[in-house]
Amino acid sequence: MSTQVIGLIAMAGLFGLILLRVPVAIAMGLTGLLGYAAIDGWETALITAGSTPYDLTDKYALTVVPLFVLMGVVASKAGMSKELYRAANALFCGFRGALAMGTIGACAGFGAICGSSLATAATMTRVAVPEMRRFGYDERMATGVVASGGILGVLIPPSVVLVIYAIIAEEGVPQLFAAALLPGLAGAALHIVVIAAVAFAQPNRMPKSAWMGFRERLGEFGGLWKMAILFTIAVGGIYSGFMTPTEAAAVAAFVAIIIAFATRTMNWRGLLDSLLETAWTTGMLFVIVIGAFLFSYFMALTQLPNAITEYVGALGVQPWVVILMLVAFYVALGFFLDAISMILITVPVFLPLAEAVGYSGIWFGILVLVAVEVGMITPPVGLNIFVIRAQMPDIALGDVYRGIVPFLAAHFGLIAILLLLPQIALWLPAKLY
Amino acid sequence: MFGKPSDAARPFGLAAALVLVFMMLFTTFTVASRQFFDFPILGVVDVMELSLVAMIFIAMPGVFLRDENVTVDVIDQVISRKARVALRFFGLIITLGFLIVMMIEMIEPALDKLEFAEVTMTLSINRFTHWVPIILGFGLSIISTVWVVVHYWRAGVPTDSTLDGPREDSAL
Repeated sequence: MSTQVIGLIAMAGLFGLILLRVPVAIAMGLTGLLGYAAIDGWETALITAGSTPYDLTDKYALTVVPLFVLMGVVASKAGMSKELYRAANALFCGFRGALAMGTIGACAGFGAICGSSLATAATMTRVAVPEMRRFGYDERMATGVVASGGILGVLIPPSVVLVIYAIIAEEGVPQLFAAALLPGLAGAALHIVVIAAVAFAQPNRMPKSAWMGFRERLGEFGGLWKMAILFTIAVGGIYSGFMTPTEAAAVAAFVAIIIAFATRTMNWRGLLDSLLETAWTTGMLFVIVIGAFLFSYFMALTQLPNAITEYVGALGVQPWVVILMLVAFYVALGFFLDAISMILITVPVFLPLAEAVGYSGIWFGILVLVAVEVGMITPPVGLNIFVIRAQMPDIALGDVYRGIVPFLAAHFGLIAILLLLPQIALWLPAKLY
Repeated sequence: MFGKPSDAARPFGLAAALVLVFMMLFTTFTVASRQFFDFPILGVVDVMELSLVAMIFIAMPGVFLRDENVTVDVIDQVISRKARVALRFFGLIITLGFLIVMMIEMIEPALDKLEFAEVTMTLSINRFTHWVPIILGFGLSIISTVWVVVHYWRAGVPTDSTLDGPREDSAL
């Protein structure tokens, strides 16, 4: 049996184990171990497995993960999202669908200090959905906009998922953060276009909000100073070369705590909760990373990525067709797997293919991020939807699903833009680095 | 020993949180020292790498005690409650087996580091030090998983799909 066939069987076995409710981390590790043994014998496989956890000990780039998670958790618990939401509403007020547009603006802004789509969706559900319901918004629209807008949290840097991609793809974190900024903003703009279109076609779903005077609007923008400081440190610190990503994350987390205490939006209990939440999230994430390391060593041994690249090359199809096939695969995979697991499982296999057909690892990272995040809002996994449902149990799950449908146009629109205009992701990193 | 496992997770979380606070304060201090006092601190990478490993593997048993590993529950919607319970135990037993194999296989490379006294580049920290939290983390995770299995056996498995979605306190 060739190594490639073993690789394919192992992939099928991996998905089988995951569907049988074996934890994703353990399924990846076990498949990696068994596959490695099938190719290179038990002795080498067990030696490799035994030394895999130690491989985390020289990955300085990963130290950024808990620190960015902490910054997002503190910002979320300190209620910074409320000020952001008020400011975003002030920007759009007077238009039909202004609250929904404001929610998108707030999601994008919160993403700039948070780095996680789940945390963004969870936070904005508490802030935005009750407000939209109070003003008579259709519940489907209210929840759909939060679920879909939450994805912007992971697109707009800093992004924890992008850090994981950077490690697996051996790309620079600052370059990836720079590459994600414009697509993230484009994604926000596309969401607003979708809201405007729905408001035009079905005005009864979104009442028109009251007009606000210039001074009143200016007053609402005043609350943005906290966000501005954190964004300047977390992203500006990296782009300017003043700090490494880890340093920027640590300083931003520290400043977030100082701001939260200074503005009396957090007490010691809140800080302890934030630290514990960060510890659990980081622990859970790195268990997956260990399993993924073992799985990726096995994948390298199978030479499956090379075989797929050669096969696709022999087909003679256009590069964009290859990328579209990969996008379709990612979207389908997103129906039952979470974003980080998808990236850890597939990037070692598909990145060589994308590079072979002429796309850079940076660009591919942004495309993968958009494609996998669509999975966060599509059933049956749709983690963003679960988060909303957990906080709004009186809204039917079916309504949340239906509310998302119009926003899929924004996500697929962004994928089309990335394909037609790759410079949207590549221009900023080229300018900065 | 056979109380609710998630209640025992808190000390691990607190210890990991302490390391996290150290990582944040130490890095902030080094940035301030370099940028404002022109006094770069050596060995930051060594310290942060060791701290990250300590934080992850201290938190790890807590993650297992809270039964918080990411799982996919698509199949729950189409199978009976009995089958769901069986699958939860299947997942836990596979997890336990994998952790034990990993633990056994880690001992030799760890002892190698001790024997050859390999050190980090800047601060010359003995690399065996990195192995200590890893081995402790795996060892305690094995005990944690056994505890979860026993607890579920005695008190029943939470099989409601809604319980398996992300917790409200998950930040990812």
